[in-house]
Amino acid sequence: MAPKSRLSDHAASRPPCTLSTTILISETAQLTGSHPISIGEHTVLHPRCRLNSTLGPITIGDYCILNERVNIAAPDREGCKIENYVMVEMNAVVEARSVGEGTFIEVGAKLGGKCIVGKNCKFSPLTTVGEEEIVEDDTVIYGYGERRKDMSANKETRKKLVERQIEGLRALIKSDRAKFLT
Amino acid sequence: MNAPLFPSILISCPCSDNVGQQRSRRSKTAAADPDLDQWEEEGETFDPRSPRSAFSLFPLENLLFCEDCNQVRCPRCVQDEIACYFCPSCLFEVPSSTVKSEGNRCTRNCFSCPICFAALAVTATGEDQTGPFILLCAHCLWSTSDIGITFEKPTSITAQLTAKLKAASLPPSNSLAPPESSHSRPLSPLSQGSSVYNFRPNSPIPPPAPTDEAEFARLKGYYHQQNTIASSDDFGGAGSLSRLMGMYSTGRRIGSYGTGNMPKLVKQKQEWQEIESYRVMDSEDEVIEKMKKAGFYGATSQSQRIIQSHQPRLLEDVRPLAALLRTKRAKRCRSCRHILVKPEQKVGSIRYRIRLVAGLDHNAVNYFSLQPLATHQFLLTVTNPLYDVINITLATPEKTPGKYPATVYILCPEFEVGASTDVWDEALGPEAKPKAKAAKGRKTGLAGTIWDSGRNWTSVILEIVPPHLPDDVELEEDDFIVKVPILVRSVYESDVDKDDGIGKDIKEKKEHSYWSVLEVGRIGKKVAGKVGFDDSASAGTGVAVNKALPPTPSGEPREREHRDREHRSSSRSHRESAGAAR
Repeated sequence: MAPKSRLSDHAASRPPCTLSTTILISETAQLTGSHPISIGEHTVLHPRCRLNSTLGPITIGDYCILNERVNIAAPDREGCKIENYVMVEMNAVVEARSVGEGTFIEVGAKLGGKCIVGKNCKFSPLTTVGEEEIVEDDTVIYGYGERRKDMSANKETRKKLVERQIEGLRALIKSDRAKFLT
Repeated sequence: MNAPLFPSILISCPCSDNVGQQRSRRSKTAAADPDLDQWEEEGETFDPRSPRSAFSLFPLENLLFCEDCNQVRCPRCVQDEIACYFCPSCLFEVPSSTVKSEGNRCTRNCFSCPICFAALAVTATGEDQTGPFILLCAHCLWSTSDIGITFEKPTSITAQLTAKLKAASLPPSNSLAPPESSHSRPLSPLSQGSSVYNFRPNSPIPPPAPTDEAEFARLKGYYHQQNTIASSDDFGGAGSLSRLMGMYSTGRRIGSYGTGNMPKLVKQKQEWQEIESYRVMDSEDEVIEKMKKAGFYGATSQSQRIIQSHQPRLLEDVRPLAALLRTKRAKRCRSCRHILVKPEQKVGSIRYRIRLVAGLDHNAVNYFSLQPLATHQFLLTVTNPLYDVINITLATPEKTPGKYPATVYILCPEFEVGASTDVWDEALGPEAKPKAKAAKGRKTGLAGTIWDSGRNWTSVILEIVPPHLPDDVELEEDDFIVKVPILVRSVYESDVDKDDGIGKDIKEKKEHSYWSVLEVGRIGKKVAGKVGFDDSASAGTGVAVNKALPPTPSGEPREREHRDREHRSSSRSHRESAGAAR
């Protein structure tokens, strides 16, 4: 027997959403769960990006980019909070308690349950962070789990780049905010 | 270690004498000694188990072929020649004169990250893509601003970096000295010693004096001077000879044979002498103190440290690594200086102008199916990459060399392989003349007949009876493997090179022979109660051969259709490779 479609399952439990009016959300993004999900201004949710609030609320700040097949899930009742200017690349899994401002989570990186990530961190492709780990500000995790402190002063430049990228994405992604509010 | 793939074929290169045989005769033309029986009479069977054979056996794809010598050339008997130097990052060709004067690193903007070794990119830090510029690693976010270096313009980074490193490494009193020219090559590993420099402009501790760099500059000047003197001298003149003698005798008389006049030794040494040079190490307290302060995350890892020429202990002392140049190489035959491989001069191209891969002139031998125990029949396919019909003679000792000899018998040791002509001949051939094929009586498996043949390939049956290995003796891994030495001799007629334009129709008979070693497979455990008499009984019919083979842990006997398909695909690929290279 064919397995039941998961989409039809979740259709019943659509979470209460607070979506900013300037948000860019694809109609094929999936917001599931029962706890509230709130998304800040100018944030982009690519097609097939998944937010799961079954275990707790999810809060996403301004100017974030969540790429396709990104999986963001709240680890527990305290929820998951992603601050402004966070870029989550394709296929990344985020189950962190909080992700600080200006952090880059690259392709396929995995932030384990309840970990706390500081500001302006960078997670190279396919790197992982363990459960309940605390990652300090400006940490770069690369290679086979090597870590270093980023001392460069180009954080503001990176934020500007994110803003410019969002401007570009407006022309590429068709937003369907109304679908998630009903 | 990966398990070896059976069956495999290795070809012997006769470049070193006395390898696995008494004397290499293949260095002469085979025509001088054409009789195969004579080979055997002389006991020149190649012994694949001889310890030295391991150095002369190569897989086909590692071999080149010299047309002038009519010989296989292994990596040991070809000579490498550097065709060009290029930077793998920017793909610019670097002239060899520049390599000699500037060192073997890219002098453009190619640098790699000292932390994670990814490529660094020139990035603007100012508004609207204006300066100052930095070299930024997109992977780990390391940048030259981490070591306090920024650049005014986005081009000629190497020169800017050189000037900045020099300025930082000099004591503050000398910092007004003119930026050094590119001659002293601070990016080259040669020019650096092991002392620790600090490039942070506001460092409270002055860096130690650059003794190594000064020494390098002095030596360089000295040798340059010697060089100019030598070139201005008349060739072989008395002056240059005495100069050379003076150069080599100075300081050498310290040894026991020193009878020369001692006062000469007092002369300050000019050239580089390793024995005499020693260095008083600086106190390391300072470095240890810094390491304490920096902690684990401020220290370099082993790989980060050894890749740097000055071997820094702290992350704040690392510098961007200029990209190492790479080469394209041509290969020459060592005996006749004939070029075997010549790559395209252009860096971006991966094509070759000349490439005499052994596969072109050697007959690729494919063996199908393997199975130890009892009588086993193998199909041995000889593929012909040449445009001429070849006659193949295979010779093999009745018993393979080694402690536990296997019995080998080739049903049809002499046969013909068709020319590698148009692919369409094969495609249309069977339809065009199906009766001719059937009339030849294929696939009978009788002695003296071939098994099957196609456009440019022929298969024959090879029978092997592996030995029974004693259970009570401790055996080495090598004893389990059946290795069959086969002498392959090919005779063909080819057109004579038309140098004069007259000998157009003259055909020249060419012969080539070489030893190859077929590693058939591993002798397995004897299957209880099944000794394989069935196999020997059905050996005469041939068709039933594969079905009669007992299954082994190493591989299932392949289906006949499958093998047929492989035949075609392999022969086709050979044809294509031949066509592409010509």
